[in-house]
Amino acid sequence: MMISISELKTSVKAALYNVGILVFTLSVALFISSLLVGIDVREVFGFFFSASVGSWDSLLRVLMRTTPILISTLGLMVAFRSGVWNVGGEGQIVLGVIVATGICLFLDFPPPLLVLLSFLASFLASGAYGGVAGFLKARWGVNEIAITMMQTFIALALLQYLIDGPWNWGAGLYPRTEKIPLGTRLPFIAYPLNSMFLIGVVCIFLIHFLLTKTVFGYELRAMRSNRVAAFSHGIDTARLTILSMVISGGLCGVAGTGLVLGEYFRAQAGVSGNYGFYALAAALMADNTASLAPFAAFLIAFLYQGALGLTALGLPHRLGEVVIGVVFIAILLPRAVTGLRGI
Amino acid sequence: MVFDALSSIVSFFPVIGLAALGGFLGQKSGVWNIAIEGIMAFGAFSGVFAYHYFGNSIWISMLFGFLFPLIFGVLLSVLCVSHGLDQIIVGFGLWFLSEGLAGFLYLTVLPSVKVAETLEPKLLSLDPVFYLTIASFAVVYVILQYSKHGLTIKAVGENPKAADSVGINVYQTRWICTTLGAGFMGLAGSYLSLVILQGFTYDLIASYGWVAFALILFGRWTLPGTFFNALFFTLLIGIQTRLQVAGILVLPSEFIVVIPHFGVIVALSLAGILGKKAGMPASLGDYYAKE
Repeated sequence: MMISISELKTSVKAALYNVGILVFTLSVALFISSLLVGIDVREVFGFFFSASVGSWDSLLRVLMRTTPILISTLGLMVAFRSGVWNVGGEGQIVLGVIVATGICLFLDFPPPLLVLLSFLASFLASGAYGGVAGFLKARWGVNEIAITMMQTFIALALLQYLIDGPWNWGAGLYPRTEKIPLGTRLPFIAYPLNSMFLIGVVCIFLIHFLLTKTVFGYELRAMRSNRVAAFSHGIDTARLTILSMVISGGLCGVAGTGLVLGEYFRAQAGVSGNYGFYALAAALMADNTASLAPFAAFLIAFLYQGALGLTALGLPHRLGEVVIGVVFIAILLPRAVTGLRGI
Repeated sequence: MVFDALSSIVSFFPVIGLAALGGFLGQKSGVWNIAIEGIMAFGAFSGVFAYHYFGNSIWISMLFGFLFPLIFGVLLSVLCVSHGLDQIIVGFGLWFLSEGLAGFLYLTVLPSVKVAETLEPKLLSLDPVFYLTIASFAVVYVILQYSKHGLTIKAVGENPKAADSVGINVYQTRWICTTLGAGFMGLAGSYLSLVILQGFTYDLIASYGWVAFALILFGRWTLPGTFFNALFFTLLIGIQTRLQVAGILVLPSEFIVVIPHFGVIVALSLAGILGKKAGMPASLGDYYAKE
């Protein structure tokens, strides 16, 4: 990859701007928080950073959270690149969780086969789930934002039903399933970071290649910039819409499988951790560029984990969401088309 | 008895109706606002916040439930109408921001508040806000159909360039519609928190914002369509809640909860199958760049 000096300058500038925005927003948010709850500001900063990057263990935890966000971010990018709004990442992750749990708990195959089957089936199931929205959009122009969002609520309800009802383990304080067999659990790289992280890294290269080096990726971009022109140049936009939704949903499903096989070893409420929604933010912050996805995913995982650390001080973890919202919008600002108009 | 059940079901109408009206207004002028869910949450918070700090009056609190969320309408207008950022992307950012802020401020600045008051007077056991919601639909309908302002809004949503050439201020029109729209969404949220739930809880909007967003689409951007869809989904949501409360479970409760969501998917698909995207304002989502 050759990068010219001027390109390097722009990207360094952009990176500095983004980091500046992050540092500023985070500082203001933490400062205001400390004022609101009357805790020493140094303590607030201390808790935030020790929970996120303060120790080897907490850093590993951030990386553990990065993994599902990263994989779903890459998935969502495939759809966003083609101008299709897959906002149902959360639901597709949940479906992946359901499929993987079901396979590992109820099928009687050798463990390695179960693992393989989990990944494959969750990719297909979540891919099909996304594909439905893609099909409705391609065939009848049905708005995919509304459909994928509704699908998310339905998938969440299905998970809730399963862990409350037929798959309920019966033990434990909150509804959840039994743990999956030992053989199906993914090995840890260094506890709590599991080997899904490596799959995530592989996905970066795969999606980068898919989006930038293949005809498919080129067609996606062509379709996004001008659907009609792409169609008249012989690109099958209907097929492309459906396919991008399938890949997009499928990757989110894989992320869900990773959560079961690598982290929780079971299905339970909140297992998807809103990662699908965070991935949405990450994909847009990274401007749908696969090589930037890990940074965006790490950033969000860092904020998430730091905000979780603040709950020890009685601060709500929603602080993370606020900071993400502000940083997200601030990162968009340089992309504004023009100066102030109108009022 | 039947009548009481019915009026308690439709008493939820302002939540869905006002949110949909807010979204409708913005979309009619050509601006997507997909942060409905979050802006409603922020409105819900603002209402309860005002109730606690600015004297215990539901009416005044609802006014603040309208006023505070205007900031998100202004933000959307600045970023998208004036600066040409992508409306969908910014919408997601605002969704995160507004919902996050509501949850964050709720735990930091708001003690647990119980709204003791109820809205009076009641007519057919429905409070004034219910009738005001219907009235505001009527007012917006009359403005859209029979006034110059209505024509302006529609022109800006359909063909901003043509509108501009006859001297209409495209930016101003979109600003007003988008900002007012956010206010209506906030109002819907504050009605939910102040009147129906009598307090603020986490995730109280529970996807109603997204349902409201969707029903504008299969109302095909007509106000009567949006109105009746809102009424229909109010009934669906009401029946769903009633079934759960009464313990009449033909299906597991998790399946009953998603009846409205299934309803949206079916309705949207049907609308698509039957008539493409008919009725969608032609420049919805497009930034207007003045030459």
